[in-house]
Amino acid sequence: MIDGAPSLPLDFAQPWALLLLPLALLPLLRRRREELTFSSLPWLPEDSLGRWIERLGRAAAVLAILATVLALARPGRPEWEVERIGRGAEIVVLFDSSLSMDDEMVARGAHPKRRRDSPLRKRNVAREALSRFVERRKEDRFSLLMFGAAPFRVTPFSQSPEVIQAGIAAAGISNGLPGTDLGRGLIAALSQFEGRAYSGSRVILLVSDGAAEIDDATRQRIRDGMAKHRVALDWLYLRSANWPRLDDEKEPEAVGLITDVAMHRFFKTLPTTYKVFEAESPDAVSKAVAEIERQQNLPLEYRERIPRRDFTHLFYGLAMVAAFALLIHRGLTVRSFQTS
Amino acid sequence: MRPGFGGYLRNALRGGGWLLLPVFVLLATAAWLPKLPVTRDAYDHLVIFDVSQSMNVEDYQLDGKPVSRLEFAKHSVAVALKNPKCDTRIGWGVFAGRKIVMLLAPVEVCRNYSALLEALSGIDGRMAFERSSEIQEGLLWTMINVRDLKPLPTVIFMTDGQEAPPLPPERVRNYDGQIGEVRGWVVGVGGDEPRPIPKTDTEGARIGYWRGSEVLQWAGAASSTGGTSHEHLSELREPHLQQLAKTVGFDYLRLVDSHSLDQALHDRKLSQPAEVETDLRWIPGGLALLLLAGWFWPDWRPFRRPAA
Repeated sequence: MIDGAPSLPLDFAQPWALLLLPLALLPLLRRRREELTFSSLPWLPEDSLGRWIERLGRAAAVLAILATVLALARPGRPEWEVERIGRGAEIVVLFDSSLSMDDEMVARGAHPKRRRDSPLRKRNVAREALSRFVERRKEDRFSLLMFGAAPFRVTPFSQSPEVIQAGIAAAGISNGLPGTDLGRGLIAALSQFEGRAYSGSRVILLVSDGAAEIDDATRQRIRDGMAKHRVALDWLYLRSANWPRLDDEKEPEAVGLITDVAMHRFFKTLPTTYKVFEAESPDAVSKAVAEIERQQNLPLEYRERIPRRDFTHLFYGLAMVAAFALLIHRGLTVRSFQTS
Repeated sequence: MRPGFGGYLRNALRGGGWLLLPVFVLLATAAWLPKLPVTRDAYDHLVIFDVSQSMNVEDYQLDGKPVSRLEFAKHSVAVALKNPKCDTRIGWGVFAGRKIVMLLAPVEVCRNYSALLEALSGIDGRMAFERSSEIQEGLLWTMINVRDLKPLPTVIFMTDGQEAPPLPPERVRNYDGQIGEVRGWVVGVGGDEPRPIPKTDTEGARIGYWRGSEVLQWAGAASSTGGTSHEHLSELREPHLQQLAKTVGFDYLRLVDSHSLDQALHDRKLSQPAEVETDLRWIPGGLALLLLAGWFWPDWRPFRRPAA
């Protein structure tokens, strides 16, 4: 972890090249071929201007070599972090990886098929929507977990969108797992906030098609955790088309959504904000994600990682200027009295 | 007579001074040259960690302290990723029961090194989604699952080879895919001495050790698939893993120390040509330095004697 400003303002990506630094001393050695033949030195007048020009020439040569060697070592300012205030949230994505997520999103009554590469597969639909969501939300901090019979911490809060995307990509590949231990999943998700300073807005985004039971002891632990870490819960509920909504008073239980309704009712008892986003088609999933996006726009204090900045080109530029100065210097100085 | 500009220029370029022109051009090129795509050998690995309970046996040492097989396997991956060239992509998954769970599709190491290490540290025995550990099935599943990744990565399968329950030799399966399509290494993790297997609960807390009567033992003579009459103890089942590796056309190697993995992760056979954005500024920069150094190189000729 990098904290605050880097201790060294400059580092080198290829430090071994610095071994060439002594080469910069070469121009300071006097070379015989630069000697001028003159009959008697005492005859020469005192020439302080000439001496200065001579020194400047050597300095330019030293600088040209020095800058080139430093450039070969690829200098740069190391990666560091700054505090920023932005708009966004700390979002733990809790992705249901159970077997039923391999089903296609189909209309009520139709038999869902499990085809690996179907674009309608709930897993694929959710994955694509999530991927676009993360892509757009550059100021948010994401952590990704999957759960089946066990929770899988894919990444802690990560600064690398590439790694989060790789986790989302992988979530689409695994086979469905038996079991849906949402309780342990939620507790694992809450534990991601452990030891992190509260920075403004925290959300667990549960992506699930439901059918998970949570026992009473675990329910209490979840309630406590939500209150302690001040985490809101958003449930992206991948519902089959035409099925009744969770808040529908009579119907859900009648069609066998008992566990889903129980989940929903339990979530409503949470001490923090809870919202459900029901989606029954890929379009609806996109809309739900857009809605979540619109809502999670509170000011957020976050640390932005400023990637390493490479200064190599500046050093080559400096060497180039020095070489040019050397050229001018040569134009002004006499190297032989035998002029043509 | 005062020389004009041409005179100054001629003067500047005389006596070897013209060498400064290529130096100047080379340095200017180096200053402006962007990264260029160059086709190089690149690696794309998917590391699968066995997270079953026998992987909690502590038969490795790290800084003088005993560490579990899983911890040591993770540690060696972290060591192997240090100082990566930007030509390696890595991702991982875990194996338990008879399936794998893919956690991270391969990502480029040098841009994401610290994030990858953080993610790696999250892998532990709590991820074991099943109590059994059918390694043959897990490996064969991996061969199928990995094909969903584009580009097709190579597989590094890290396990101690202990089938739980023991695999009867008549249930040894053949791989029905094409050998050589998915390439990789089976990496044997563990020591030679049978050690008790720590028992853990779902939260990963230690609750004693497995006892002989609690696990399925292999009755009869030691089997070719590694079955023993001490299945509550665990040691590296090397012949079984070598056989499995052969079945799917992988190579086998044993994780002895934290550098053992280098051989697998930098195996030229596993590399494939890929376009890698490459910094080539060192070429004009190095040439310019060569010219400058050559030009200022001291000549050790004696002083010219003044004409008498």
